[in-house]
Amino acid sequence: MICLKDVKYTYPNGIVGLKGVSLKVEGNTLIGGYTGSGKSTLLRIFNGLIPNFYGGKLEGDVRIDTEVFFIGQNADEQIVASRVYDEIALHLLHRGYEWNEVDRRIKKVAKVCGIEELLNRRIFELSDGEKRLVTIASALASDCRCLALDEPFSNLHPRIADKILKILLRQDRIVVLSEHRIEFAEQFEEFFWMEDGRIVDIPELNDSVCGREFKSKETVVKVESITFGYDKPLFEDLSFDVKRGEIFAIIGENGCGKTTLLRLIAGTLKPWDGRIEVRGKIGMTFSFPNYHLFESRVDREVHPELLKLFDLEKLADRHPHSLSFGQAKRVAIAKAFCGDVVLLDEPTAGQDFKFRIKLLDVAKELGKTVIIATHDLKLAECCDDVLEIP
Amino acid sequence: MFSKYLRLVETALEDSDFEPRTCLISVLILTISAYSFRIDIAFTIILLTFAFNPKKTTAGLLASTPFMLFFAFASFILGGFEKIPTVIALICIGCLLYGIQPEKFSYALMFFRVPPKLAHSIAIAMRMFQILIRDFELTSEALRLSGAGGFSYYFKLPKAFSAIAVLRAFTMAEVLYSRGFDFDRRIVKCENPKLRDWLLLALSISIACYTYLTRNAL
Repeated sequence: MICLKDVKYTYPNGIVGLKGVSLKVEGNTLIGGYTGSGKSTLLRIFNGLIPNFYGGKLEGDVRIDTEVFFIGQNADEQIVASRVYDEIALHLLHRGYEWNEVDRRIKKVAKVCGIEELLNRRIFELSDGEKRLVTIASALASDCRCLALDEPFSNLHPRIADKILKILLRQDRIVVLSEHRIEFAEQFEEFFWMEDGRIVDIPELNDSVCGREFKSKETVVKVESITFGYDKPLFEDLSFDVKRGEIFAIIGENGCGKTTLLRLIAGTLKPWDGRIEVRGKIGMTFSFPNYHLFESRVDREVHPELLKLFDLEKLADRHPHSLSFGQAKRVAIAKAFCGDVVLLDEPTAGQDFKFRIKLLDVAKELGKTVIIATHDLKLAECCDDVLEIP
Repeated sequence: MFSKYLRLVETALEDSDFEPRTCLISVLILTISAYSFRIDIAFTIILLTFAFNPKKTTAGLLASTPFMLFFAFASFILGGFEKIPTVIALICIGCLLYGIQPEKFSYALMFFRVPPKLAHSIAIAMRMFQILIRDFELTSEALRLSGAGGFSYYFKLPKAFSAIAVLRAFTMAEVLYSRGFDFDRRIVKCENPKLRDWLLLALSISIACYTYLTRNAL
């Protein structure tokens, strides 16, 4: 059981993460909240990362009488080993399990999660979604009585996310999940909502977005019969075009090549065959936002007008690398909007549902051509056109 | 051009499937042999590593071209030109060493009774090197996409990468902590060497014997 009473936490840099949180976790629990509301901070308290690793000032009563396996928000950062098998084995080996037992558990969990084919793969060959599955498999293979997962479904296809959630909730252990996808709430015994470092009453949540009729005829991105892959072809003879001011979504299963297609459009990868033509300057964000942050202050990264449009003014004087994953992602997205053609890889990962609306509104207001690779089907529904990669 | 170079480095650092214990012994023996500074031995080692590890050795040698050119220039002025084949042989041996998967490398070290703390630290350092090369590549790509070019690109890249490297080190430490990583735990797992591993070991020993027996012949 986990019990927190009037817990306040201040990070070593003086930023207040929690402002008096009281909660009791006795069963499967979902923690919702807007970006930067303190969900990740709360989960880090559960497994002792705060204050043992982060330092800072923790006040109030914290009682945790179980071992907690924690997985952070960005799957890419959560992996230590070089191969999938070794990554899942890592925790068990360091807990003193024999190889036979480790092997048995890994095979069992790989079968359950449907990642048997990935076991011998190198980590850098995996897509973000596949990396996410590997981190969840590590949690399932562990012997901890409580799993604390920070946005575990952000890079997963909804069908796979549903399957994994069912597996997690079937376990004979406590699952604490922080998630923006509030549609999962009814499957949990407890649902808390966080706002500004506090637990508050659950607000009325409306995540519907209005569509629009799109009229432009001018083509700005033309993809003609491209073929590309790594070991084997990912796309063969793929063609489509995107008009000026259009919001275009690319969807598909994990590992189908959505990010690769964005990189091909950006010109950082060259197709084996075919032609890609882009008219205008490209602005792009990878799924890990920090690659795009080069300055020492947020207001030096992003144009003041975009700072305002994306509600980033509060963060203007912060160092970009000191931001939470969700906040850094928002800054990187705002920065990408400097381009004429904006390529966004999983823009709603780490973002609350309000951002979905904001993103589309800003794109329409500025008249930018936006290509989005996403698993967020609600976002894709609101785009002008959708390409599904088989 | 620069991104192609980074991909070469990445390929050179990729792990392959050598059995770690026999590979470690072979690397040690070949390194001792290379330090005889004999051209015939150096070329034999280069040929051997090419035969066993062609893709990574080619990538490693191409990636170290700038360093080799600098070394050749310096040795032309300061002397030591004849040592270049030995340096190339050592780079080839390095590619062989990096052919061991980091985790298996640490298990092999612990098999040879190296203290677990040291073995785990070496494995993490090897893994971090692979991760950082990838981070460097993606930071460079992101910087190019942001429109930085020419001098501005080379000025901003080290600063941007340093921030990412610090962040990566921090998150790596955080993950190790949350996974309960125990630096004092001795983990040993030995797989049976394959024919290729035995052959590499046998040929390495042969080269070492030949080096020793012919030490006074030249």
